[in-house]
Amino acid sequence: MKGAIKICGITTAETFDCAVDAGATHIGFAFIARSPRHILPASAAALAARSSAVSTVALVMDASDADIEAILAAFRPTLIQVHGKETPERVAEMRTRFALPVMKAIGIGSPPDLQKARAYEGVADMLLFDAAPAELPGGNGTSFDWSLVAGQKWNCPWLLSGGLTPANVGEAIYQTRPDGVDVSSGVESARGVKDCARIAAFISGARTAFSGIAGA
Amino acid sequence: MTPAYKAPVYCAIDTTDLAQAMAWGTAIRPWVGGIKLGLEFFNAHGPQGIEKMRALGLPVFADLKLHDIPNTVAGGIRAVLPLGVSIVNVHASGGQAMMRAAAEAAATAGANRPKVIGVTVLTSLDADDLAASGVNSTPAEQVVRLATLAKASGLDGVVCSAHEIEPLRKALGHHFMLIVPGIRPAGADAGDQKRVMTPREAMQRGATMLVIGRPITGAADPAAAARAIHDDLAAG
Repeated sequence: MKGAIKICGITTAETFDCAVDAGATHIGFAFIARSPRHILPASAAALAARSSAVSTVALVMDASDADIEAILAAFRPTLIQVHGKETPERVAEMRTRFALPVMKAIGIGSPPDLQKARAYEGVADMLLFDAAPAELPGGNGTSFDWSLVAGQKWNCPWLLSGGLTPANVGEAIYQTRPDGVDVSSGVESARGVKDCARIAAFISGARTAFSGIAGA
Repeated sequence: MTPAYKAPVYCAIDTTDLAQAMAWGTAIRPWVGGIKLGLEFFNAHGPQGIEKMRALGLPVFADLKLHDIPNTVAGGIRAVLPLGVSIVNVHASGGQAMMRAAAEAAATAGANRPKVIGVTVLTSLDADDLAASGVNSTPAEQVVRLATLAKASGLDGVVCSAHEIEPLRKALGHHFMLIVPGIRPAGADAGDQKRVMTPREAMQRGATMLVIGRPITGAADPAAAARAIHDDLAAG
């Protein structure tokens, strides 16, 4: 799991291809209707079919079973990422019902948020730490105080997210030692518009830092 | 210049004058996410008119508001698929079977299928109008009822007014598109609209996309009007 690089909110074939070519391990699709990166399941399925090498992540928010079933009818992701107020019980239930691993995204603004995150240990397959609070579920371009998660040990893999860019991803990895990183607005040229050069720069910076901490 | 940011705004182009429609489309092209063509345009120019407008390179919302028995609506949807429109709509009051037929017909286009959107209660109808047609609910209640039915029938979203965004998000969650017409940019003349909401406010409340017509096409400089909305949303 070490060194996961997730590019979130892909909507076009061009940026899907350049993320995969640059070495992204995960591609995220935002099924949340108000996201500027909103995509329909059928379109996500068409993009996902372009590569078998990459893991795909379905981003949902306080989704009902029917919402998720509607997505899975058209598109089967590797992983579901839940970005709303899902409880640990709901995460456990989703894992069983849909037979897919679930990653819980948690907004981190202060130490109590870490306690909240602990409640998902042993329930969620992965955790994602994002900045909190946020207007949108991800993709807001704000980072949180990385020292909050630095030195914390988790019994499942976790991704660092929130305000990462090609310029700061290396430093973020050295400081927090995550299992992976997640980026959306940090690799965009305008709101909701992914940029291939920025994606490549982000992935290159992240890979260098991951190999740096691997030897440490 | 062509900005990278695509504003989630479809400009309503309501005219029977094809040259005028093309001129508006060309002028606003960099600043909007698409154009909405309704019955006024469609009944004058038909599918060929939509094809001509599609050539501008903008996504098209075919606002045809289909409402008929399921087979007929499914046929109507299948007939627009070759036009490559991005959004098509049906009346939710046509019922679950009709909406299912519409969604299934659209799905046959695969990855490039148009989004199928439901029209709930026309904004021209008030509680008395609904009562006269046998519906004993307020328009707000009927909107939520029909939108819930639309979602259960496999539609991708509904058209709703700005003040219905919050109740609909509460009732139906985040996995359903809300397309909001009747929005006036900040600073624009409110005209006869009592409840005014700016594009940015509507997006913050949870709209998926907006439909804006006369504030753009009725402006002295439609491109500048579209650009002002684009820039405001890009900053927000």
